[in-house]
Amino acid sequence: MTLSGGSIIAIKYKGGVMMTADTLLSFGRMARYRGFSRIRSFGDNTLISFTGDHADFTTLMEEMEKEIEHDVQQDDGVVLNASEIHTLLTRILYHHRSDMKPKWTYLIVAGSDKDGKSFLGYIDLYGTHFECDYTATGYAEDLALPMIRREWNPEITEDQAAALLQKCVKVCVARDCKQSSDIQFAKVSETGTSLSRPVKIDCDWSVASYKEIE
Amino acid sequence: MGEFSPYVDNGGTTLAIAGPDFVVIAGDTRLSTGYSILSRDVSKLFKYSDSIVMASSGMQADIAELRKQLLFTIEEYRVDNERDIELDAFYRLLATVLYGKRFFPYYSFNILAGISKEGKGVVYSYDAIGSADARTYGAAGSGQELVISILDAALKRKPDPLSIDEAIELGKSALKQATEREIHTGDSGEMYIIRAGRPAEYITFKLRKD
Amino acid sequence: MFLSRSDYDRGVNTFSPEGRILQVEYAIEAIKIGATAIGIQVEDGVVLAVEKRISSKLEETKIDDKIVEIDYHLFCTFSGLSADARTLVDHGRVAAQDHRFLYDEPVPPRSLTQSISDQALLFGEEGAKRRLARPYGVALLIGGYDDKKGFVLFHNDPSGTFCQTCARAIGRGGDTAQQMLTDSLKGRLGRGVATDEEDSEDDDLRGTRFRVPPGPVTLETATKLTVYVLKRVMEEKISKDNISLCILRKKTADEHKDAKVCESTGERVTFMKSDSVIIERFDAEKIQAIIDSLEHGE
Repeated sequence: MTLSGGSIIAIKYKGGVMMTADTLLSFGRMARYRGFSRIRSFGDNTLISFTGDHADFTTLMEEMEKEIEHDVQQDDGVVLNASEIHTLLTRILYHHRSDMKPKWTYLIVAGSDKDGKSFLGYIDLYGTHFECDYTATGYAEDLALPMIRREWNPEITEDQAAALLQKCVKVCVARDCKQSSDIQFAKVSETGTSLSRPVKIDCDWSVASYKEIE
Repeated sequence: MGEFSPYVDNGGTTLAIAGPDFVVIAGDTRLSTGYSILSRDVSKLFKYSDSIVMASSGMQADIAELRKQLLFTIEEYRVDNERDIELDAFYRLLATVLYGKRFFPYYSFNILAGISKEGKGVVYSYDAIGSADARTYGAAGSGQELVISILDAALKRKPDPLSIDEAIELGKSALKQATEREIHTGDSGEMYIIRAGRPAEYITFKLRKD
Repeated sequence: MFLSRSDYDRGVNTFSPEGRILQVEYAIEAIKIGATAIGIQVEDGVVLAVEKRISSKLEETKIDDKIVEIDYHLFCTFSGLSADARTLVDHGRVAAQDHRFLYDEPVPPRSLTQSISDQALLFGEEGAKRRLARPYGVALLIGGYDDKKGFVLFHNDPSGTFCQTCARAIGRGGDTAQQMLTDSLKGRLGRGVATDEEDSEDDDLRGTRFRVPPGPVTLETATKLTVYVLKRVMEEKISKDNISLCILRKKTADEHKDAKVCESTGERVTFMKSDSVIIERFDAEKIQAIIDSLEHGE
């Protein structure tokens, strides 16, 4: 058994990409570490977050840091954009799976492509990869995606996107037993990346019967 | 934990129909694992030249790798031999590349469509390890059994020669019917219409999204 | 390290102060003492002819290994060290089959020549096993058929350089022979066809000019021309025994019929693609006939 992270939800909105993840690392069904950020800001303009094995993700990020260090040392002002990082991570994950030593992670990469347009991409441990307007991993794939499909459109504003994610997370907290209610939001737009401090999702458990037994 | 399986089936259906001087090749754009749809718009078609288009279903990551390998090799062919690769040579190349991974195969089922040196429409269909033959029509992927029956019924004993419009309609309708009964196929369809001496034409059409 | 200028010619990895790699130039010299070989490419084929040096009356002259096949559509002759030529030809044969294996089509002659030239450049004192420590002491004339470009002729030398040409002579009599080819074919083959067709009596007087009949140069004429030139540049008297002659040409309708027939379906099976051409080797009798026709004829 290893430390693992749960669901991620990410959507594009007019002007950027927003994503959300809880801040829990589980060890099996034990809530092992709280307050851990599963969303990483990569360079100035890219967000990477993971579902799955935490150690594998850390190793992947070390591998990526080496690549980025290259860019820094060149000092030519050229940096990888999110689309390029997405391709690179795909190659790395596919390589590991072909080596029969998969990095057990599902990654979401957000940022912008070479034309400066918003980019959102998905990669899994097999090297499966695609670009999309919205996506989710873990239980959120089943819980949140249908809600997003119903409500999302390309013209959605930042506030509407935040509200939509909030609504999705609430369902996840209610239905996914490994979802923590301490949630981090992150966004990436022309102005760069920003990660929020973990916020408490307000869930009403007053209906739960254990209160009465107390 | 059991042994890791490096394969995943991402589903999807592809088909191709050849006529006297044309060929159409089509596929759906759904990408799935098990019961969940990962994406509704991932292409299964890949155009290598105006007269060579490949349709692939199976495992998306392996297919992406296969395409990269082929692109690399045909670019090498182009600079070494100072000419673009032709369908006959590409047919053999794909077989060789697939068989080259005989003991760790690409989980991909490919159909190759194009125009031969003689100007005729040709369909080649492959298994995952490079066994291939020339046909007048073919289907592959999760809806293969459904589509091939439809094509058999329509084409096997067709008395008059197939027209290009008939081929396009038959291709679309076969994919639509596969979508009705097969859960890994759907969302939208795309098709290349390849005619001798003309740039390949690309069209899309809607499929059920459920 | 180098005490005198002449020391620069010892290593194959050292430029001389004049910017030359002398060992490569010496290798090219080795060709100039080799047998004379001639190649001509015309519209309907390629002819290769080469002098066979017989060192003893006891030598078997029927063995004809100076013009060799690389693939069904490629053949080659050479001047210089024949053992070196064999190594390069072997490499070319493998490259030709590699291409057939990967693409199920005959290798384009230019790619094949490139591949052989790459091999010719792989010499040096260190590095991979089975690498030659010196340059290959051989120059090749490679004739071939290309589906897209028709018949072609290439020449490559120990420096790894190669070029396409329509008439080329190499070896001991190479310089004289090349001049004769140029005189006989100018305005008829290669660049400037039919533009500067002038009758220079001087050439005729020197006796270096073969009268090429008007119209496109045929393979038959080209074949005669190679023998004509060889006859004049060879030290020994030309005979049916001391030259080799091969042509690459389109198959005739009859030869096409000879292709294999599948027993079960009765279909004609083209076993290898591009079997539309054939390499025809001239036997002693045919060579004698050409020599005779030159003597009596024109």
